[in-house]
Amino acid sequence: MKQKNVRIFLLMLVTFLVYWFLNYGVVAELQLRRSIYEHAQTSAYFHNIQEILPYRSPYLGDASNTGNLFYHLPLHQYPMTFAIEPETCTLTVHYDTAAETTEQVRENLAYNTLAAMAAIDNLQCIQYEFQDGTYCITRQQVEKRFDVPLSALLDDTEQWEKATQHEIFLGTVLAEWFPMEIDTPCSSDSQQV
Amino acid sequence: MNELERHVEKLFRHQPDTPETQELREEILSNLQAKREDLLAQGMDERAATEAAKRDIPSVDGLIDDQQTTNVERYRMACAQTVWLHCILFWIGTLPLLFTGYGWLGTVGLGLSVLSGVGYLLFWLLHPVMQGTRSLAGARRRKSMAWRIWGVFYAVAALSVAAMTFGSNLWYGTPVTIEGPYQWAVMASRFYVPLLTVLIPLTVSRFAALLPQYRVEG
Repeated sequence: MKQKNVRIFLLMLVTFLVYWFLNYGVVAELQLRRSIYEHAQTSAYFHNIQEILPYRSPYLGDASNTGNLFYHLPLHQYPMTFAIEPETCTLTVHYDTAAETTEQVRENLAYNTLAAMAAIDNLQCIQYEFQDGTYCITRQQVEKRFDVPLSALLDDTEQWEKATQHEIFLGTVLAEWFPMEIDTPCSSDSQQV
Repeated sequence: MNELERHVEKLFRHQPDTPETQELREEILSNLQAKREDLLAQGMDERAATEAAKRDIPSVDGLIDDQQTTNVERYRMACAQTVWLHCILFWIGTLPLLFTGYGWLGTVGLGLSVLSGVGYLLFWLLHPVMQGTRSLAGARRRKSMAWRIWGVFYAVAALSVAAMTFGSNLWYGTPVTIEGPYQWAVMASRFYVPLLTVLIPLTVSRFAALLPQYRVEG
């Protein structure tokens, strides 16, 4: 019985070493990487566009798909609700917070707009409602910035990165789509409500 | 080995190998052979005579005194050692789950292994010298009961998991889509976690198997 005790104790010791290595080595490293990756998904600079590819759709009407799309885009960390107007193919994203008109948030909004219009073919207009105002972007405004159909941008990651780099991160569209002041009404030609 | 010998072997399958059971085994075999010879002499054919003889003694449970004088102290220590070993096996079984949402079971395995190890050590240090009687049939009943309960538990658990995982696919007739090895692992882990409880009936079975080893002669 004593010999068996020694063998069982050695088994426990080996199990403990394997457990320690897996739990505090491998799993902790994977969790850290996952956490860094998830944090990166909150920023347009580091967002992996592949995340939204499963939610590409020709139609805006699938509310669940549209919600999932936005939950895989930057700003998903803020609570939001959605409303769809089928007649005008308009999507309203309501954020229950005041607009933080920092450049980073405006860049994220511009990135989300481009991603949503590229992913949902019949999406004509997006309204971002904040407690203190609304941004409104039409497909026309977005399309005139690009030489190719928006949906084609998602077919090629390199093309997507080039488009976001040139048009969004270099700030050429921010002033037009998401100006600092957001308290003017929205029309088909303007950006604000 | 002829058919009657096989029958007697089967009757004593779960009995301890002691001089008493050996003697009883030989006595029963000779009685059955005598019975078969009688029936053959009366004109019955060989097969029918063998079957009739087998029906004469279908079980030996009532013929064996199943109360065994046992070295209770050492038997309990062996049981405590078994519990310790099985807790470590449970812990080893939880290691693949560290990569899934059931990683907390690894901590449970660690806790159980340490607690059972400490319990066994206390047994080792404080064990009182004692003898007593233990029922072999009782141990076998507990083993049989443990397996039945576990069988029902696992069937219910596996069906529940299957219903939760594939229920909507079945209801709406949509295909089951599992993308990539990680999703496979997550799905498999849902069936694997209740399977780990198989160590409970295995432990009870081991208790029953250990009991004859701690028989005290005389």
